[in-house]
Amino acid sequence: MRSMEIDRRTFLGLVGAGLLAHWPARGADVVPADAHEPLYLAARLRDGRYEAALVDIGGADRLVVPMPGRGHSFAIDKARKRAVVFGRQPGFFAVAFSLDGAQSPQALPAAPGRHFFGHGVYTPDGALLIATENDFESGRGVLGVYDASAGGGYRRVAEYDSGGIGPHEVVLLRDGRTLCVANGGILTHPDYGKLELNLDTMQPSLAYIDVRTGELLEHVQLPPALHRLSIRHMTLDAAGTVWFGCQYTGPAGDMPALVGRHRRGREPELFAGPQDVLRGMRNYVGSVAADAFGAVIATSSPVGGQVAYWDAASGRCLGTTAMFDGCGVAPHPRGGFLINSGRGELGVAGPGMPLQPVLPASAQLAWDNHFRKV
Amino acid sequence: MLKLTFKRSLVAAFAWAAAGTVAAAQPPADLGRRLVEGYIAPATARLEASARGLGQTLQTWCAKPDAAGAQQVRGQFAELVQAWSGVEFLRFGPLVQDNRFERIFFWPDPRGIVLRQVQGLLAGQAAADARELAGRSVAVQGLPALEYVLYGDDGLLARPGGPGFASACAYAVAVTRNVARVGGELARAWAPGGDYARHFERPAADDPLYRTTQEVAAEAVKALSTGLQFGRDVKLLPVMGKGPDSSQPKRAPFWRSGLTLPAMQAWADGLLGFYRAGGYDFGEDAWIAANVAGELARLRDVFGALSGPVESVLSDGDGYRRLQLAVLLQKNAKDLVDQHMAPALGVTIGFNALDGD
Repeated sequence: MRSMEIDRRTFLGLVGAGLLAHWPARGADVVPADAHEPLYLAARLRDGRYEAALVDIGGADRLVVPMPGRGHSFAIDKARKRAVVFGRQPGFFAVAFSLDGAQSPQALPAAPGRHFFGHGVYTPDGALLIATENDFESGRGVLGVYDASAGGGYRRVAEYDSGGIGPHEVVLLRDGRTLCVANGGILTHPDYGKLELNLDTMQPSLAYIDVRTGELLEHVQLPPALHRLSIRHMTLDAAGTVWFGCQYTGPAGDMPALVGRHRRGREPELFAGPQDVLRGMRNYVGSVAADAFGAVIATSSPVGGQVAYWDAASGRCLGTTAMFDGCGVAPHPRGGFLINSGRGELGVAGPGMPLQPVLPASAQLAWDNHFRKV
Repeated sequence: MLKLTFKRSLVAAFAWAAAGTVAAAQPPADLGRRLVEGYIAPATARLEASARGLGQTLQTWCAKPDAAGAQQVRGQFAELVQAWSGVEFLRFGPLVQDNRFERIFFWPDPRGIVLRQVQGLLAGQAAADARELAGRSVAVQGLPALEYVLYGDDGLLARPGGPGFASACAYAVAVTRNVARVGGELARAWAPGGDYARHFERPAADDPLYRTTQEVAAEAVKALSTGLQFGRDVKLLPVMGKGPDSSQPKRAPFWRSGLTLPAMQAWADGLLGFYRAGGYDFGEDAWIAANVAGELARLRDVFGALSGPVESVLSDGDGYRRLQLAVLLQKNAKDLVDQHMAPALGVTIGFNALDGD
C-alpha cells in the first residue's frame, strides 16, 4: 500500500502558491445536515491517504479534507460551522475548514521553530484558536494563540507558556475563560521524532491558564513517584471537572493507575479500577471522552485493545469493551459511546452495553486516535 | 526525512495490522529461556565485566599515566562501548527501570546537556565516587560523559598528567564504576532465574509481566523492530543529512573516540545474536528466518567494512554510499520483522498502538 504523501516542503510550497485552497474536498457533495443531527470528526488513513473526515452516526462521510500527513485531533467551533485539524506530533501543519464545505480549506503552517502537538480549542466567541505546540530548540511547551475572528486569517498573535514540557491536549473549562493543559512532561525534538529525551527528569502536570492573558492560574502535579506518568488526554464531566488519561513511560510491570480526576484547588485523584482492567490498559490511555450526560467517562487503550468506563461521580470502573486497536471514543447522543479502531471498525458500546457494530473492519481504513463529536 | 520515515513505517504497520488472517506459527514454547540464556544474560554480564575491567585499568593509569596504560584504556573503552551496543536495544524491563538506559547512555543529546554538566562538574568538585555520582544528573553518569572526559580536546588521553588530571581521572573512574554498578543490576536481573528473567522465561496466566509465550514473542519482536528504527532514524539519518556535504558527524554516537562504526557493528551483531537465540521456526515460511538473519548479517558486515572516524567515512563518497546501504538494510530488516516475522508468530500491533500519541 502506498501513501500519497505530501512532505512538508511541498505542503509549504502549496501554501505559498495558494494552491492548497483549491484542493478538492473528495466526496465534496456535502450532504446538508439538520442542525441537530450528531456529526463526528476524525483523522484517518484511507486507501493510503491521510485525511480528516466529518461523518454521521452511521459512519457515512459528509465531508473529507485531504491532509499532507497523519492528522490527530481537532479544534471545533460548532456555532460557526468550522474546525481545525492538527497534524500528529511532530506536526508541521494544521488545516482549517468549514464543516459545511462552504469554504476552501486553509492551511496553517506551524510557526518557525514550533510544531503542533495535535490538539487545540476555539474560544466560545470564536475570537481565538489555541494550539498546543513545541518550542523545540528551547525545549519549552507553549500554546500558540491565533486570531480566529472573521477576517483574522488565523494569524498567530501571541504565545503563552504552557506551564510544562510536551503540552498535549488542551480543553476549555465551562467558564469559557480557563484553559486546562495536559503537559505530558516528555521532551522531544523533531529531529528525533517522538523519542523521549528526558525520561529521567519528566515532570508532567495539569496547568490551568487564563485564555485571555496566558496567566498560569493553577499548576497541578502528581506525586514524585509518578513522574513518568505522562498526562495526555482530557475531558470534562457534567460538573465541568477535568478527567484525564495517562501513559506510563516506566517499566511495564509497574502498572500505576492511569485515569484521574482533578477538581480545582484540590489534589488530583487517580482511579485504578480492578486489576484485570488496569492490566488490560497496558500502561496506556489513547483517548478520553465523556458520555452525552457527562456521567460516564470512557478511556481507550489501543495498546490493550480495551475501552474502560468510569462513573464520573465516584470513579468506580463500570466495565470494559474489547476492540483491537480501539482508540477513538465519542459520546453517542442517547448514552454510551461510539468507538472506532485502527483497522476501520466503528461500533456503539457502553457500560453494560455489548458492542454493536456500525462499520466492519476494513483493510483500507484506519481511524486515528481521536473521534470528536461536533 | 525522519517524518517521512515514521509515516512510511505506519503505512506498513497498517497493512500488517489488517492482515490479521495470516496463519500464525507458534513461537518456541521456551522462547524466553532461549533468549535469556542464549543472548541476554551473557550480553549483560559482558557489559558489567567490561566496565569493571576498564575501572581497574583506569585506576592504575590515573596514578601512573603512561603510554602503555593509555593504550589499554583505549582498548577497554572500545570493549565497553561494544558490550553496551549489544545491550542497548533491550529497552524493556530492567533497562527501563530506574533510568538505567539514561544512566549508561544519555543520548541523543541535541541540547548538549552532557557537555555542559560535565564541564560544570569538572570546574567544581569533580572527584565524585560512584555512589555519589548515582545521585547526580544521569547526564554525568554514563558513557557519553566518560567519552568526553577521556577523548575531549583537553581530555585525559590528550593531556595525561596535565592540570586537573587527578580529579578528572577520579571522576572517570567513578563513571566507569557507576556503569559497572548499573550493568551489574542488569546482569543480575537477567541471569537465568533472575528477578526479571524468571518472568520472561516462564510466562504464566497469573504472571504480572508475561502471560503467554506470545507476549514474550511480542516483546522480542518489538525490541528488534524499535531497535532497527532507532538505529536508522536516530543514529544514522540525522548524521547523514542530505548528502556528504551536509552530513553532521558530531551528531553520531561515540564520534569523539572514533568508535561510531565499531559500535554500530557490535549493535548489528547484537541484533543478529538476539534474533538467532530465539531459534524461531517459521515452518513453511522458513525464508523469513533466512532473510531476517541475512539482512542483519549484511548490516553488521557493512559497518565492519568501514574503518576510521565517522567524519572521514561520511566525507568519502564510497563510505557515504555504504552508509546509505546500511540505512536501506535496516529498513528491509525492520519491514521483514514487522510484516512477516511478527504475524508469523501471531503478534499484531495496531495502527494506533504502534505509534502512541
